[in-house]
Amino acid sequence: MPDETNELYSRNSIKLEYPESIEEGPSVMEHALEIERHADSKFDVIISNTGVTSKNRLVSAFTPENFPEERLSKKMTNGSEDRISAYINANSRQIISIDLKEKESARINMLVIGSAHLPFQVLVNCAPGSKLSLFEYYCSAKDDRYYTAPLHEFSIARDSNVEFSMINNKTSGSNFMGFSKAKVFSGASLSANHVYIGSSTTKVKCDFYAAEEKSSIYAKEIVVGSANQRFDLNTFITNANPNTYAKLESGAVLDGSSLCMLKGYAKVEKLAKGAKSRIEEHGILLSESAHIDALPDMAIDYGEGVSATHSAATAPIDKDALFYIMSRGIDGSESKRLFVGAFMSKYLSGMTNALARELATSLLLTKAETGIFGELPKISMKDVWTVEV
Amino acid sequence: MKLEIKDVFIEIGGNKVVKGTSLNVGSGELHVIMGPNGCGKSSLAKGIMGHPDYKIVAGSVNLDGKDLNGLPANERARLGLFMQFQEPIEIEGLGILNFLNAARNSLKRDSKSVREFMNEVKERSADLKLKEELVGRSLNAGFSGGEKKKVEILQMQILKPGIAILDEPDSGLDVDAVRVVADNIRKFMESTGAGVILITHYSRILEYLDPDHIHIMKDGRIMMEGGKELVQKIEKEGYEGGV
Repeated sequence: MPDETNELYSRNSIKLEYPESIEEGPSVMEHALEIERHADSKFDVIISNTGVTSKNRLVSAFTPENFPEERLSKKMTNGSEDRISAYINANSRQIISIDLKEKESARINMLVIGSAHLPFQVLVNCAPGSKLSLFEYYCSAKDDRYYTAPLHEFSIARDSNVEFSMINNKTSGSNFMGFSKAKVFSGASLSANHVYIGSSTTKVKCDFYAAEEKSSIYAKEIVVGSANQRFDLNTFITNANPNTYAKLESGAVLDGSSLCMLKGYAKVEKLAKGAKSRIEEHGILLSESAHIDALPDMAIDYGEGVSATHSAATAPIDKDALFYIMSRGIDGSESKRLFVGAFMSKYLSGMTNALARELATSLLLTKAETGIFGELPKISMKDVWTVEV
Repeated sequence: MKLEIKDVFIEIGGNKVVKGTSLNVGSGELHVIMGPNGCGKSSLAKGIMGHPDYKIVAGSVNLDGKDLNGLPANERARLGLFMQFQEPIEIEGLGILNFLNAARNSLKRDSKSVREFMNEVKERSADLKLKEELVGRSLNAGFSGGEKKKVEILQMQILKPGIAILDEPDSGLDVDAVRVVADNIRKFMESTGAGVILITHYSRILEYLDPDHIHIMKDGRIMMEGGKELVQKIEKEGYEGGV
């Protein structure tokens, strides 16, 4: 993980206070039902401080005390990776295990509600040829001033596909920190689609590793910030073997005095002949006091047939684009909405999960337009097409 | 509808780029503005349409008697003005159909249902020989120069302005596409009665159109006016010799 040694990254970093005590929180089941009514959907798994409720047979929930020894030996993180991983590994209240057998398919929608500090782990193991769509929606019970801290591990075996979409829409007093590690094996792919709207402070680290030949990583993350929100996103993509593909697209739309650091780091290792690696970090500033640091970085160990490129750009809304839209009769505020909506939509293009996509679209537009977050507007899933995985 | 441009001066970043231009365009009239690069043709178009950087500092621009100066571009569009851009903006993620529908809803010029609107887009796209799949894509993103120009003309046809300013609709088009675009401009004028200001460098598009007036612009001013014979003079003598 380069952030510990990369001077630029460590200088542009948000420091977190790690909570010492993990308390029990109040029951949030009533709130969960309200969220389900607003989302017009039932979640398969509900995670809160009071435990895990699962309706899906592929999901097993453990506490650190009853987590099986043989599963422990397969864990990809142990806390030595960095402070976030260390904190979650040491303090997890729940460990959720999702295991897909060979050629098995599943779509799992999870609701995570914080009503106290909530460090937990989601360990995903996909056997060859399997297909998983995992969506996690993070929200708060009232008066949330706590940390929600998920740790994800994905082992994606040969020829399997994982789509991992998440939205953080926790309320303004809360904090969010996360750690994700994925290993993608031969011919397999990971599509990670992360939407950050909520919480006062967000700090996330993702380490996606294209481990074997012809494995692919498509990572997209979009931040919409307002007021004094702070975001620190660290995403590392690695091409470890020949003909691997890794692409990170990070975007931010910031208003108020919000701050966002986009730190995408790509590594192409020695054996990765013919690998393709790409980082794009783009931002739109809606106010003069908002601030985006886009810091793409790459380390290339091998050159033959390797394509490794990056781009970064941050600017206010393009005046000429706004003029163009307005020249068709559309007023200034609607023109801005169309422009920002268009910018954000490309970060949702990897979401095939209908619920994730509908929620993300609705929440992102509301946030960009009004700055409001932490609430879930009512949506209707009646006319939304769902394609079975 | 009548557009009256009276002794107008336009400034960008403190520099005067249009220096006293007058032009009256009525319904059904086709006015052609020609002139060398950098003479102020596009600046005049942007200033009339209300680009915030192109300020009208003297003179007046009225549409049906209403002073346009100070109005935002969307208000000018609502009053009946349209501008086809020389370099149309690419907006990834904004679908052409969504964009056109939003514009149509803002302008409130027709009461077509969404289905009727879609059918109209389909028909006009066919007239323009635009690939059907193009209108389902993001606005101008990855389009060729010719496709962009055709999508501009498509927008004009759907939004039905009273006065359209077309800034080089023929540049970047192949021979066949110039004819298609010209045919569509002519049909649009005939069917709606709209007045058009057409800015161009080339005489080829005028082989398919019948302009009422030709205006030759140089150094921010209209220096010569006349009929189609002016085009031949410019073709023969160039702007240096002819103006």
